[in-house]
Amino acid sequence: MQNAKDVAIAEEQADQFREAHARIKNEIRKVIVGQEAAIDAVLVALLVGGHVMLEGVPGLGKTMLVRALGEAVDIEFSRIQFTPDMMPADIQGTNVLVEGDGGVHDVKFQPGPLVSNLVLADEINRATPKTQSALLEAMQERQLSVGNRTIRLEEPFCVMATQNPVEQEGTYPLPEAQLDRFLFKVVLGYPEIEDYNAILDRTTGTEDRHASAVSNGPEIVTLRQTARAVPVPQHVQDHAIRLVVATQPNSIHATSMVNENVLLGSSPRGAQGLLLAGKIRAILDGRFAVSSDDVRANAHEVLRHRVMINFQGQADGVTPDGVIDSVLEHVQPAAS
Amino acid sequence: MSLRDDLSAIEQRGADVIRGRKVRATVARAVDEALGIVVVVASGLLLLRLLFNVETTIGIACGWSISLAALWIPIRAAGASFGSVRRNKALLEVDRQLELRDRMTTASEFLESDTQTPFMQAAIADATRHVHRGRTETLSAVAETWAMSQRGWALLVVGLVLLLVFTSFETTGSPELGVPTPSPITVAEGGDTVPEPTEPESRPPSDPEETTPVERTKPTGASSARPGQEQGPPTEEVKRSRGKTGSGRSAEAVSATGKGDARGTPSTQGQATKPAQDKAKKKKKKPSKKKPDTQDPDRKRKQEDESGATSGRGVSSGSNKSPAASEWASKDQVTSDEEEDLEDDEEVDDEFDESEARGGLQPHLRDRRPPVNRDLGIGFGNAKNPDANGRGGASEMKKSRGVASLVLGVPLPDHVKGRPNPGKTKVTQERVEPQPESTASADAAHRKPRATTTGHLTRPELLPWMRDLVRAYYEALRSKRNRP
Repeated sequence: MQNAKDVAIAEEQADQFREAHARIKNEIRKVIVGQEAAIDAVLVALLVGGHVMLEGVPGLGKTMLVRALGEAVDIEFSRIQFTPDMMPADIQGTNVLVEGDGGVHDVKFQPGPLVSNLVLADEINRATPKTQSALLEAMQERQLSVGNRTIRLEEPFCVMATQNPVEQEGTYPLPEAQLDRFLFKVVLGYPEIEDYNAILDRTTGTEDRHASAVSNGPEIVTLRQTARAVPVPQHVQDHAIRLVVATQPNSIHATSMVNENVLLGSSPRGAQGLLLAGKIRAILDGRFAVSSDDVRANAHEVLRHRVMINFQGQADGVTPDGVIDSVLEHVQPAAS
Repeated sequence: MSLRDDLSAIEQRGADVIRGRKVRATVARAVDEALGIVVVVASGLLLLRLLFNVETTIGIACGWSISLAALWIPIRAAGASFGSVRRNKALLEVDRQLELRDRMTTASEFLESDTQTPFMQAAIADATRHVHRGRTETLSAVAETWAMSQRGWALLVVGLVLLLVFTSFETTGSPELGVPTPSPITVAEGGDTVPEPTEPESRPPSDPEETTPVERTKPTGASSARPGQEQGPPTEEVKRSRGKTGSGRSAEAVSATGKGDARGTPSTQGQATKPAQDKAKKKKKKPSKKKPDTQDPDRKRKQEDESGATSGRGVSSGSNKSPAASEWASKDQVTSDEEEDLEDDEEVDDEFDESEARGGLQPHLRDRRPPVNRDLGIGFGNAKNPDANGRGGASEMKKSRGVASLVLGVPLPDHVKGRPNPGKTKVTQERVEPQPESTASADAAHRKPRATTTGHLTRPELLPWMRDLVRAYYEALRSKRNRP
């Protein structure tokens, strides 16, 4: 009896999750044409509390995608256009001298755009490492330390950064510590040919399309709790661990390709990302536990920015995605 | 029937599938191993026959090797079929084949768990809905098509060759490699012994006396002795004559009809046509004389790049310096005769060296070299400067120069075209660690007063009143001296 009740509760939560996910996704689709993988990735990141790095050439809708997400979910949205002369105080906030009543001067903290729910860090690699590092504490600890003040960031907090892979002049590659804090790195490709008509119709007419708010912050927090409640069987967890370890050179699961071409493998954050993303995928697929396929499905998005190719690999044209493909081929779930 | 029982039944099915696949894979491997056994056994028997004259026939060789090999495969298959399969692995196999997304494995794990969350119970309930598929649907045990490996084919060929060798021994007789066979001795009337000429070609191959190795190894026996020859131990004359005639040489070695004669008298037929063929070949080759040069410039350059030791390579245009020459020195600084020839020939030069086509040296874009370091700071390229102390210091060797290298990002060899042996610029850096100096410490307490002059002493700054006082003192002293 108790079992049946628990099962009913879990099924209800899963249904609510799927319904909310579909609601937000449909709203985003009103603005964004195609780019299904990118839409799924930003939604998964929002629903598990991760951050996303969107990489693509100009004009693919990276910024628009995040703006649409900010519109579809009624949460505080801020956009930071990163520039080389930007300072940490410009995004974190700083103490300013204000004149109070009776001409009394007082120092007051003026929060920066980072103090928000959904932060669009546009062209993040244009800022100096000093400014990029200002995001580190916020992304991992969900707090800011400015002077002697510590500011807790309100949940849901999500950083969605964009960067352009081709214009590398005057940019600063993100440090590894910061890259590792992103749950996903999504590479956007050109739209499909059949999507071009819809894109042109929507963007060249008089109608200005916007997404409506169909969700809010508290609902996102509830959905996060539901997602984290999805259990992970031990064999799936072992499989995720082996996938991550296999990206590390000279580890027991590393292939010869990894040993020869990889300088730095994934950290344990990679395994966390694999399981969290797998939970969302399982629940959206109508299941109540993560499977090995769920873990493997998001391996590229989770691991590609955590695998550093060494000099020999770069000279041979080896890419992180190629390494991940070889790891997926080598590490099979049935071998656990 | 409960879910546990269902899962046990499904596990059994999965285990059977895995075992079946394992047996197939083991048999495939065992075939290779069996072929190896054939080769090993046949080689052993062949060695026994060659070295120790052990009587082995094709029948023995085939019998032993094939029977051992045939026995090996079922032994291996039986060993594989009795192995145990873990529960998770068996259930995962069923999940994988029926695309159940780990539902059976997950349910099995969650059933064993002490605490079950609502989602775990939901997962178990979800697995219950799919359990009939695991029990009823057909599972495939064939994972891959069997194909003999390259090693297997190689072993098969070697085994067949060995068996053919045995067969040839059976038909042609023993190979006389290691055991010398003494030739039959004929005692002449005059006491001189001459070896009896043997005629292996004229002997019928089916002669049972000659095909039996035992008889061939005992040529002095009764069966091989000539009629009328004394039986028993050889006489003193016979022993002496064996020493003279070099007993122990093979029959073919002392044969009067040496095979080498046949080789030494070549036929004159067809010799007349050989120069004609050569001429034709030369005619054919002549138009494409420069083809190899034009086809392989990249390879030639690669060889030059790999080493400076290219002297004496014929048409190589590499460096004629010592092998210890550096990579830079071996590239373009030395011009050989061939290079000069090529430079004279405009057409060949264009084909040969595309890199010098337009306005000087162009970079080889296919060269996989590290991109040029654009760091304008003083340092050690991409590596950290070990001497970094904020004072700069000597920089690394300059690898490239010019706008092209900066724009294209490829290194250009630093050389001046047209000047023979322009030399090279080399900046050497030596890292010197500070070393402590071993000197005895001075004992200040026992130091004696200085015997020599103290050198220049700085004049102490005096206050104005003291200066006046000193001046007054010396003036008074001087006036006293000058006073008569």
